[in-house]
Amino acid sequence: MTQPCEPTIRSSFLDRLPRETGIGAVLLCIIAVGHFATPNFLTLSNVKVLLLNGAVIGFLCLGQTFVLLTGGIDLSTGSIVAMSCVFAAVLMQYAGIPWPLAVVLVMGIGIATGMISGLIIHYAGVPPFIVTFAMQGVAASIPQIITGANFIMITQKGYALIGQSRPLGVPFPVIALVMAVVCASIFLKKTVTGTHICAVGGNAEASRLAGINIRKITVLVYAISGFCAACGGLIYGSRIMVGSPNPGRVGDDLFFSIAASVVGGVSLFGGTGTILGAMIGAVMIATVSNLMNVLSINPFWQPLVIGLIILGGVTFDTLHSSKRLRLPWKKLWKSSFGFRGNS
Amino acid sequence: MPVDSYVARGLEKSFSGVRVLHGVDFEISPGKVHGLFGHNGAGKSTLLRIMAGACGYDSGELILNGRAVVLNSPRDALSSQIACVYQELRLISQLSVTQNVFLGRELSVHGVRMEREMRAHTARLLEEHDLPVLPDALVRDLSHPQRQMIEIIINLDRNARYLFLDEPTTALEVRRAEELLAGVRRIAVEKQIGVVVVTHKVSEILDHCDDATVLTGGAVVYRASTPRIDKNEVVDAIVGKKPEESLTFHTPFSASAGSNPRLVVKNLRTKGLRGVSLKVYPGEILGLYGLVGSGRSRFCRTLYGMEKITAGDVLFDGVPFHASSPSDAIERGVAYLTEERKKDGFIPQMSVLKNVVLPMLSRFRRFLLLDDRAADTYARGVLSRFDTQGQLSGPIQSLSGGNQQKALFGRIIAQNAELVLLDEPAKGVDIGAKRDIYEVIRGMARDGKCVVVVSTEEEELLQIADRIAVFSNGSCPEETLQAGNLTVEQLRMRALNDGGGMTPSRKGVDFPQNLTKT
Repeated sequence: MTQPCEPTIRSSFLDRLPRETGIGAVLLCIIAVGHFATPNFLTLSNVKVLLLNGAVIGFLCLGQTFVLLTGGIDLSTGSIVAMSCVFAAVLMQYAGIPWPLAVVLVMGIGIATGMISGLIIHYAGVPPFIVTFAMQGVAASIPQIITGANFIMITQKGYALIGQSRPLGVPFPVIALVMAVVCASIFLKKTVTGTHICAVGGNAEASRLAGINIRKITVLVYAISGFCAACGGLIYGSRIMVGSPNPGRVGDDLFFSIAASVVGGVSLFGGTGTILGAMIGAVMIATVSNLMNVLSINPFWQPLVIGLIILGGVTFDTLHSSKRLRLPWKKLWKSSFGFRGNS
Repeated sequence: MPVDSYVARGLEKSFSGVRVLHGVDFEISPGKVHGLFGHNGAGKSTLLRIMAGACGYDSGELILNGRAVVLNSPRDALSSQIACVYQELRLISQLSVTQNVFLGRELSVHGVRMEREMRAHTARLLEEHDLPVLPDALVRDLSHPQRQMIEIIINLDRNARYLFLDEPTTALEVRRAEELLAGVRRIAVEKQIGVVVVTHKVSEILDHCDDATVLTGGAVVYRASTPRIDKNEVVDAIVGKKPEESLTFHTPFSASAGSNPRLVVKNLRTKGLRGVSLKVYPGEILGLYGLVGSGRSRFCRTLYGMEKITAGDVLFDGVPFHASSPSDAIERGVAYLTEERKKDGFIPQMSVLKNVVLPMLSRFRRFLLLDDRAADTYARGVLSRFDTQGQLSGPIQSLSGGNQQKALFGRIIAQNAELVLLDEPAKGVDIGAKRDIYEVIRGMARDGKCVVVVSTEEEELLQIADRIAVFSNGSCPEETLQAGNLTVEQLRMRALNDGGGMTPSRKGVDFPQNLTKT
């Protein structure tokens, strides 16, 4: 989708397929397997559950993709989800702020948190891994301190619209995610800043010499990631109408979102990847997770399976980047999956 | 009786069709220091890399102590007692001297390091070589010559009998270089080590050599041993006598009397520049020449806002000009072509066309969105001048080096800047495209832009520049050479005399005028 990966004109039909074809095919396979494994998988109600559960991962993955494209990583998103969830409840219940305003404020807090990470990364030159790792701790403990690890019940009914309403039968979080994905794709592909984001990830020093404002880009991508995490927190909170310092499986969400981006073809080394690919990755992770639930597989197995998926994705990415994937089966792989070809 | 020696015989080597070594013979004997001289690109680094096992060769042979050897890697060479100290030192700066000395061959008993023994051994080594350094000192706390000595000592401790030193004095002041070379000389004699010093600084090294060999254009043009080494002959050999030197094509532009310079630099200083003064007139191309590391590139990067100016003035069109960052410089109308396109030139995964328009993408903005088609069409138009081969909408990394360079040069054209800084503008491009690039550069000057060109290729510089400023040791005097009546030899001579340490330029103002008559 982004221009660094345009297919070449003279290449074969298979090479001209979008890069996302490979991961898309894998997703279809998983769905097919699920369908044959259990009749309960491909039902309308289960698909809705799948998408609703996937929406938070999708939002985190969306933000994470921006960060990964610049060659960074954001480990704080899982904690920002929890923090946003609690802040929304605190603002509404303790400060008495009406829910629409509280929602905007929470989004602002998410953006601010990301901006702080971005500024530290830019000015101090501390690796993103460390800065966001530290931020994860900070963001995780603030809600615990505020609530004393207690739940805050939310009484403003309107807040539930975010997580529970179903316009035209589609859960609102899914609609919101689709809208966000469309906006993000246009932003990344069609704007100057979007191009600059890919440039910084491809070669930061060359980008700087080409006059690109590195600080702006760095702060922006972490702010986007913070914003997306805040959206995730709002979805969680409004689904259960509780400000919980530990909603859902916070640790897993971060883990799943990075996995989704990486298996979706977003390089951990920066510069390569598309929103569409990452989203297919997110749907794939959500599908695997859901399928394991439907098949009543012990939930302890889930991180293991997702972990193996990450390992596979990253290994492929690394071998591909270092051009070590010159084995005979590479051609086969390329032609059968249409994975990023070189030239 | 077989004589101890390390001999190269008839070495030939080509890189992608270009012959860089034409049957070179070279010999090292234990206990002697052999100076290997030559100008930029004369083939001395290639010879060194081949003899140190870091690079293969096409034909010829290497003979060690009377027997032919095949060296497939530096490790192979080391096991044949041949070692090389490169310009970039291999020491690990966070570790202590002792740890570096024993790196990869630590003494241990059942996996436990024998600290005391290793430290004692290191102390003995340091003492033996009169190096006032503690074994526990961290390498990062040591001075550059000390590090260099330690790397040499480490190689000797690993039983090297033939030692290659690649430009050992580049980073050193004259006095420090003397110290280092005296130390090397003493070691060579005492330990019967054959040392090769590869350098382009003649005067610093020559006094410490037993043998001297000069390479020019990949062939040995001069060879002599101690009593008969003549400095003037060495310099003549390096400079080369090529009567059929191609003449400059253009009639050099000379600033009409009374016209004001557009760019004035007065005694510019940064961390690495020690006083650069020069002027560029509208419509003229100023060439910057000097040995590697003399500060030419650094000067361009400083003007482009990449390094902090500590003293001095820069005036552009009479207005003080201090770019704080590259983006600031671009806004002030500066374009810069980097010397190392892979390192900081292009974005590898991005399309060729996007790489061309990257600095001025916002020009193609239409209602918040980027007009991709307009940008691509524009970039295509720019590149059509050079016949760029390859898929222009594909990633630039899939193009050949020459075509990548054309794309980056296209970026310079697209920027349409007032001050154009070009570092090796025609690096790696074919002859036809070179001429196109030269013409475009000339055209920029004709339009009244300020053009500064850095090049290590003398012919290129003489061909495109009107005047040439010679850098040495980070400084550049205000006097420049008119390119029109200059030859390659004169230019090299100038750089050698300045960079050779005969006249350590203290302020960058005193400048010998004796050898170049313009």
